Amino acid sequence: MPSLLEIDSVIKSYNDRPVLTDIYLKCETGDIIGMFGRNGSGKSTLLKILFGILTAERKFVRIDGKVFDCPYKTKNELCFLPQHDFLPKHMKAAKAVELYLGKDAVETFFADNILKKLNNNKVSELSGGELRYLEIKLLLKTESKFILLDEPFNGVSPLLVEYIRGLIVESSKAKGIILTDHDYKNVLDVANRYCLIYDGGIKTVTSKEGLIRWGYVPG
Amino acid sequence: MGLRTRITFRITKVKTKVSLLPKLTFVIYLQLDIFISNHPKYKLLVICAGCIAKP
Repeated sequence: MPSLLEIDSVIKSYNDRPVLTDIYLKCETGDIIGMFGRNGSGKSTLLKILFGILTAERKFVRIDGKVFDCPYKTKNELCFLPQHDFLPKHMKAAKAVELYLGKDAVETFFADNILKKLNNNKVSELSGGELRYLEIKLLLKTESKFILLDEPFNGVSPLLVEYIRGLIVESSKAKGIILTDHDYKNVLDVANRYCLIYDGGIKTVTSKEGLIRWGYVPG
Repeated sequence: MGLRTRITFRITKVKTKVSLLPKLTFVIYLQLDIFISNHPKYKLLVICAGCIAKP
């Protein structure tokens, strides 16, 4: 059954500087929402508020009509890829996958061109791109209904970006995905809905021309 | 993000042949850590990060 994630009436300021003013965003199963915005516009802030790890002056997060104060405390609703790495450095990659997906899933998980030789490596021994790919794949393979990806393509080579895009599209059949990244061309290609945070509000855009009109992309 | 916590364990059973109790170091992941807040089941994870057997 499709699920619906809504975030409504978000107001957030930093030191009296309003960053988000009355934001509303919804995401349904099957959606890949590409979120754009200049540096400091509040994209990451919005994702953190949505996940529940950052407080806001006001916010309502609803999943299938039910209000959640801290969605991350309810398992299998939301997962969040932060800009930084989140897997423990000292842990073996295979152990991290086992802890998330179970022992039976490990072999299948590592049976792809990128990860096939990395299961015995510690997380600290992976390159930045490999670790990003591992973390994204791990979150997308969970049973969470919605996945929030903050800069999934950052520091990732073009080939890995292709793989990540494939994972995102495949996973969107059963999940809703919200992603933000300054690699706007890849975001435009992979997403099926777009929005732009501008001056504290959220604008719907449908193409690159919309991004030019709002001054995110040079014309 | 990140929360440092100190926990004291009283070890009552040791299943090793070390005659004296080892000194153990644990890393504790709480739900405020994104590793745990993303986890499908766990709300707390304690991992033994090192074991120094006392002479």
